[in-house]
Formats: sequence, C-alpha cells, structure tokens
Amino acid sequence: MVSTVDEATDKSPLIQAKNVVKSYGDIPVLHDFSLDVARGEVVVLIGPSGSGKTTFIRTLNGLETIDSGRITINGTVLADSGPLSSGKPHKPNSRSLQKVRLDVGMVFQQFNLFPHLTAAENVMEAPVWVRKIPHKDARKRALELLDRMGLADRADHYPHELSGGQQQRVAISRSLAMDPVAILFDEVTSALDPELVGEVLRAMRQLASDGMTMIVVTHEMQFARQVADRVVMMAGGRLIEAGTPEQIFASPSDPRTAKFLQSVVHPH
Amino acid sequence: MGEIASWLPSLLTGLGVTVELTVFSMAFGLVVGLVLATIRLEPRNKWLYIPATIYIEVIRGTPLILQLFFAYFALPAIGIRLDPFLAGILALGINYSAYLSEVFRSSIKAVPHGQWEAASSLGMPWVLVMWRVILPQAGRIALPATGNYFIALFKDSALASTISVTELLFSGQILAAATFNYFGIYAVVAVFYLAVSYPSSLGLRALERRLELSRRKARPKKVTA
Ligand SMILES: Nc1ncnc2c1ncn2[C@@H]1O[C@H](COP(=O)(O)OP(=O)(O)OP(=O)(O)O)[C@@H](O)[C@H]1O
Ligand SMILES: [Mg+2]
Repeated sequence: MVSTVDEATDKSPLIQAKNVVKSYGDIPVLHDFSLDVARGEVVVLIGPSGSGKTTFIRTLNGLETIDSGRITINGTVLADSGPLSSGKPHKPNSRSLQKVRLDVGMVFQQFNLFPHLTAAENVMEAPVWVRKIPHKDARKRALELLDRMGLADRADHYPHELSGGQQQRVAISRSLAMDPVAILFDEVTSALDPELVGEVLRAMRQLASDGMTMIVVTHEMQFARQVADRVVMMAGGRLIEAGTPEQIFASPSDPRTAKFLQSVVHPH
Repeated sequence: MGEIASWLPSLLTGLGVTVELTVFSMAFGLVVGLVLATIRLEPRNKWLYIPATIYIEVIRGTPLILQLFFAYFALPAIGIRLDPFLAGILALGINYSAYLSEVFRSSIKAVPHGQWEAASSLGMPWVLVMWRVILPQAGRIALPATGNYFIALFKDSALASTISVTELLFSGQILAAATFNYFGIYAVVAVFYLAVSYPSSLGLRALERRLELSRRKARPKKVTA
C-alpha cells in the first residue's frame, strides 16, 4: 500500500522523481528518469522536441500517470511502484493528488485562462472555491498579485480583451494565488509574439528572485543562463546531463547537449 | 368576434396547461439530459455508460407518440397508473432528455481540454471543475440548440392531447367538436402557439447575444476607494 504522507523534512528535496518510467502505448517516453529539486531552486529543462519534457513535468502534478517509479512532492507520495508488473499505469489516490495539486502550480503554453471570467475572477476562482477564502479577501489578494504582475489596470478585463503576454501573466497570478510551494512552467512563452516574451520572462525572473521553486521548460536560453540554478538536458526520455548554466552552456559534456544548444542558438 | 371571446377562457386554460407541460418536461429533460451527458463522457465506466447509451438509442429510435402511449396506456399493465398530465411530462421529459443529452455531451466536449487541466491543476475537484469552469462554457455552446429544442418541445406538447391532457390543442378540439367551427378555432389555436413560440425564439436569440463571451467588456471601474 502507498503511504500518503512522508515525513517532510526541510533537508529533503521538495520535488523528488525517482526512476520514473512512462510509455504511451508501446512508445516509451520517460526511461528511468530521476530528478530532485530543492526548495527555492530554479531548474530549467531543455532538450529537443519529443524528448519528454512536457510529459515529465505533467507527471509532477498528476496530469499524467506513470508506469513505475516514485514521485514525492513536499512530503506527499504522488506515485510509488516497483517495476511494472501488472501493466497498469500507477494511479495516485485522490487525496494525495489533490494535495499535490494544491502544492504545485502549473502554467501552460496556451495560458488556459477561464474565458468567462475576468482576470481578477480567474485569479480568485480557486482560492474562493477550493480554499474557501472569503470573496472580499480573495479579490484583494488577486488585485495585489495582478498588480505585482503589472496588470493592476487589467483586473476587470476578460481574457479576450488581453494580449497574450497579459494573459500569461494573469495565468501566473492565478497559480500564485493558491500559494504553491512550486510552479511548473511548460514553454509558457512559445505561443507569444516575440515582443511579448520579455514581459512574461521578467515576471518569471521576479518570481525566481522571490525564492519560488520552479521547473521551467523553455527554449529561451538567455533566461536559462541568467535564472537557472541548474539546467537539465533531456533527450529520448532520459536525463543526459545536468549542471549549472555555466557548465552546460560553456562546456557540455555530452555531444547531444552541444548539438542541441547549437540548434537552438543557430536555428536552421 | 363575440364567438372568439367565448372560446378564450377554455383556450387560455389550455395554453396554461401547454406551458406547464412544456416547462416541467423541459426541466426534467435538462436534468436527466445533463446526468446522461455526464455519464457518457466516460465510456470506460461501462456500468453506467452502456445503460445510458441504450436509453438514448431506444428513446431516439422510437416515436414520441408511442412513448406517450406507453406512459399512459401501457404502464398501468405493470401497475403504474399516472394521470394524463404526469404521463405527458414523463414521456416528453424522457424523450427530450435523450436529445438534450447529446447536445450537452458535444458541448462539454467542445470546451478545450486545457480548461480541465488548468482547473484541476489549481486543485479544483472534478465537481467544481465541471460546475464552475466547464458548464458555464458548455452552456453557452449548448444554448442555441437547447433553445431550439425548448421551442420544439412547446409544439410537441400538443401530442399530449392524444392521451387526453387538456392542453391547448385538446381544448381547441373540444370546442371544435361542440361548435363545428374548425377553421376559426384552429386558427385561434395557431395564433396562441405563435404568440408564445415567436417571442420565445426572439428572447432566446437575445439571450445568446447577451451571453456571448466576445461581447463581454470590462466593467467600468467602480469609483469607490
Ligand atoms: N498523449 C500522447 N499520446 C501519445 N504519445 C504522446 C502523447 N503525448 C506525448 N506523446 C509522445 O511522447 C513523446 C514526448 O513528448 P513530450 O510532449 O513530453 O515532449 P517535449 O519534450 O515536451 O517536446 P516539445 O519540445 O515538442 O514540447 C513524444 O514522442 C510524443 O509524441
Ligand atoms: Mg512540450
């Protein structure tokens, strides 16, 4: 039986993925993938398309199940199984799933704002309905968060009235409103017009310097260089290498990393 | 003119019954339709999915008038005796629930998957995601078709005359049998139906426009400090 809660000590990594294996049907996507993330750490995941970056971070808040391995987040065991025997994906129980989702925020490439709610209502929705925070307090907090994201004057606008960059900053505020211990970012600037990328990266840089634990999938190497505590290179569902931005960018030890960086810096 | 005036009391009463029949059947159809749609979102849940699918196919594959006869004339054979009005609501409600469930199901599926993911990643449990995020969007998608079904149901409720519900059409038939003024009476009955269905369809269209997301504008700033 899976125990729901581990003793969370401050020493243990906030996010711990051990020997994670996942396939879609016959296609293996994550091979024995392990990664620990410490409290306050910013980890940037890089790697070629199809290397499993999205799949991996989605397993961290239960949007994807895993076949085997162990995932622990802030003391909650989200998944734990020995080597695959039954052929069935490991399903987390709903209590630990709920706990992990409260702990870990996620920001998506396509923003996924709720289109029928204003920016402030988007931010307030989960605090009011999940955390049962009084409407007034939730709104006050939402306005503070939006203000921090430079969106004070956009609070009562609907998503369709906002630019992509503004929408993505609302999405970040929405995630922050639940006071997560970590936030996952999946190529959150990829759907943006180039001139809007900067404002979103600025907001993320701010979060990082406020001490938020972040796992960031991005092709923005400049951001990785400046903000990451650790850069992790993935290919073919495996961790190829990991290190400080200096190590990875200046002297990658694996030829695949060098080749990938080459392709990102000089596309085509 | 005096003749028409003498028909009005019983036709108005009949119209009242028609409206009641429509509203109750629609309410039934909406609730059951939503439950069916929800069940059919998850085909892997066979024990609910298969019965729901059979229900929908049986209802959609048989005539409404047969279902009315079933509810009123056949059910007593197994000891269920309903008065005509209740039998009418049951048959109409069940019939429309099958059609509405398909509208709801496709509307729910039309809401982008990212909405589910965003809401659940905020820790919202399934029921909350459905209620606060998916249904408000699916409802807007479903509104035009649902409105059409509502008006169709209003007219289909005339079939309840066949099981002796004294709704509008049946009230007209009773008058016609007594006065032989078929033309006059059925013309007035037609006007009564139109007097409800036409404004309803205008109202529904106005509601659709009002709810359209792209028309929503930021509310003017409140001037309170
Ligand atoms: N729902 C799915 N069903 C089947 N295969 C999938 C599914 N999602 C992803 N895959 C496959 O899993 C592999 C890893 O995909 P993933 O999206 O995690 O890669 P990625 O590193 O995020 O790529 P990108 O940089 O293009 O976003 C790919 O081969 C992809 O085709
Ligand atoms: Mg991806």
